[in-house]
Amino acid sequence: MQINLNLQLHIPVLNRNYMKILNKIILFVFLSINIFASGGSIYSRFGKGDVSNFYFARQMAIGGGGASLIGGNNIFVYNPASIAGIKLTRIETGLQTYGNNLTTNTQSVYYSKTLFSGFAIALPIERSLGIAVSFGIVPVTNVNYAVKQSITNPIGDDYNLTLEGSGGISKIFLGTSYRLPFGWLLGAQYEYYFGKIDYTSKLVFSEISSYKNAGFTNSNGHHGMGANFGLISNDMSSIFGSESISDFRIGAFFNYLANLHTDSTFTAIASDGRVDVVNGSALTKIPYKVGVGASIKFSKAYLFTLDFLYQPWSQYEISGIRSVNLTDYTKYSLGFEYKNNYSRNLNFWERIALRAGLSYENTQYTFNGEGINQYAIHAGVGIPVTFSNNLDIGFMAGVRGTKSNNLIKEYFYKLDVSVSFGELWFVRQER
Amino acid sequence: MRYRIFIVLAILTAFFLTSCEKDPTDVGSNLLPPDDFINLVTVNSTTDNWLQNSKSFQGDAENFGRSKILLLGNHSGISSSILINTFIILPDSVFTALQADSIIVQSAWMELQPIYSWGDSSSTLDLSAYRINQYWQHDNFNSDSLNLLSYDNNNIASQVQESDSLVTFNLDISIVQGWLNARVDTSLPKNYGILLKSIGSDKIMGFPAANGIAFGALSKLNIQIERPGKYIDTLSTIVIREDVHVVEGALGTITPDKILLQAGLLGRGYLNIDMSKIPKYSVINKAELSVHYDSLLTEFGTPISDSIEVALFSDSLNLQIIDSTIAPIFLIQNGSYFNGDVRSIIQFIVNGNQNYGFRLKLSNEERAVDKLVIDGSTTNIDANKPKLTITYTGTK
Repeated sequence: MQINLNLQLHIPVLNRNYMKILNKIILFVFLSINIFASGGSIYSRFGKGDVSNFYFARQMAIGGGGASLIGGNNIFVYNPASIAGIKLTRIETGLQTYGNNLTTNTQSVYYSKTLFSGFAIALPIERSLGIAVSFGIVPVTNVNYAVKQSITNPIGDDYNLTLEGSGGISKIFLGTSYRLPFGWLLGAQYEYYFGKIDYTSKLVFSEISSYKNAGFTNSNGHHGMGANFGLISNDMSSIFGSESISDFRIGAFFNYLANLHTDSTFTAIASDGRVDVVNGSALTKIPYKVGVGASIKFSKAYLFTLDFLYQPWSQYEISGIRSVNLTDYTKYSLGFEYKNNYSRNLNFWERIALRAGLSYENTQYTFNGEGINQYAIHAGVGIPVTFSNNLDIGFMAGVRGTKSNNLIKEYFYKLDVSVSFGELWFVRQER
Repeated sequence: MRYRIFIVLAILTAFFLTSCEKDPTDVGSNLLPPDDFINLVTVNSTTDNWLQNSKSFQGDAENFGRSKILLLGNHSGISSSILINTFIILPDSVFTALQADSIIVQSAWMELQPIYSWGDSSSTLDLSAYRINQYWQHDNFNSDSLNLLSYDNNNIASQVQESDSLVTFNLDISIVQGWLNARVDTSLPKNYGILLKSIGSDKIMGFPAANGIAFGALSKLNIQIERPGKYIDTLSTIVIREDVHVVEGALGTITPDKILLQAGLLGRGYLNIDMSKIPKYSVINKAELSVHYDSLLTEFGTPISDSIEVALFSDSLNLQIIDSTIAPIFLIQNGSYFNGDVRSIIQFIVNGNQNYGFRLKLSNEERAVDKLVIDGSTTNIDANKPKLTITYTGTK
């Protein structure tokens, strides 16, 4: 088999009006990156924080699954085999805003934040063979919490004690895909994980106090490598013997991380400067992740997905020590998408894709034998900006945790806006 | 199409802009690991019986050339002399007349404004003045320099008058005439100023030095001159070329349970308190050092020495060297104690630097002669021992 890579770069000339629209979208997205917030789920203190299991708005809108979906107008980082369906060079990026109302039996507090939800690019190399490459950077975990206590000091000035955590782990990936015999798709990604997580404890006195503030920061820098292997079946809808059923596929992926190298610095913060107290290093074991899913389409417009995700966080270790507050993670998700057969004769409203989903998670967090579970509903739309460019909006709202046993119940929402640009970058020269 | 997309963007922008920074609460604090929490700990050297030791010592000879106050007098075996050289500003007409040898000095007197006193305030100053015959400068001028100084033996001061606000005395007009003539005839002896001494008094007085203009009026030399048949005029000069004072005497003896801080004679104290109980790399929130002074043995001047400078030694053997990387702290008088926040010095030590002990000295050491006796580490009364109270935030 010979692959002809004699390609010529083709710079497309888009309609000027649509270019202006796209430029505004890009400007909006990147300006929004400057909006940050602090404070969030206390549960993110444990392990490496809340784990991102989906990226970009379309995947969020269909319940966060999609292990069996082939990318067309979107890039699915979830399963590397999905890029085999890419027809145009595709760039996708997004922004996510997150609101969380933390409640106990006696108190509640609301936090919100905005996060960069990732960047990916996928290029088709040889469509007939399903060969494509992908590259990108996406968040993997996020730590974001803050608590403050007012302390009455019986022998001196009162003060506030603030405990904060921030940071997370991200990954850069480089992936490829290939079409196996019988139409099965195989994908693989090399992944490099990196990130820094800081845990800070601060004593803060009033400005008129004769006492000086104090603080300590435990800063952990992580780096390591991993890999993600994925498989998507061919279209097996023929087994149903119905013309109205199409695109019945099953998919699976296995995401493996080698141990992360963790460099720790413990710093004392006095009013007249910082002192690095201790420097150390350790190995952090992040457990593997495995996902399976199935999808089926009716009347070529109604897509249903069913997914299961598993990550044994009970096996998480740092320097060989496991955490009593982590347990195995499982997620079940059901997704739906309505999208009319795309035709240039359809009007704007007819070309909008509608999406919905349900998900249930046994999260990785556990406290005194009480697990923290999450229920969520999902929704979203896909707005075709041009023939090959879309603006996807995903929304998710749910409940996580419980108020029993002095735990926290969280009422949260997430809104993701992603833009996906498809362009023809390479044109095969005719010989 | 365009407008629909803009409407969508506007709605989404509103969502993103709701991300804002909220003040944290204590919701969820019960779930955080105990090791995340930090607490204040307060300890003190007296209650916790920390080891400490102290002693008195004398600093190396120091020059008081930059002192803001000049000291003159005698008390309790301590004497101080002043050297002063004023520059006589001559108007052109006077300079011309001098060249014509037609200026006669009719009288000359000095005025000094007292701003400090130590000893018997009712005692008279008993001042005498001597013409200096050689060049000298205030930098690094000390008692050794005074012993080598060439000056006339005859007293050129007379009619000394003293009040609470002014000390005046006349100078030998022939000496002053010679200074004026030397301005036009370089072969004549130059004006190198005068040496002031006070032998019979039982007090030491202080006057503003050239550096101490903020403290009061500078010393003034007044010269009444006559140009016969023309005019009589008074030249007043407060331009001081050089001035310095030299304190001489021996430090008094003191029992080992006391620390003698003697201004003027560089009587200083060494105090070392063992802080090894403070965990390394703790953050010091507050640290107060308190010392008690013996009012019976202490003799303050007017105004009193109201602060003690605390610095950190940088050598275990050489008590003349302090660590210049850490700024000194001042203990301020508060009743029968001197106390102050020495947080930055303690933090410096806790950060891993060696504790060679504190150097104590009166903060006005170069411009006063006060005697301050403080209770040391071996004093019988525990409550009077130097006390260090530290509040810190420790690691776990």
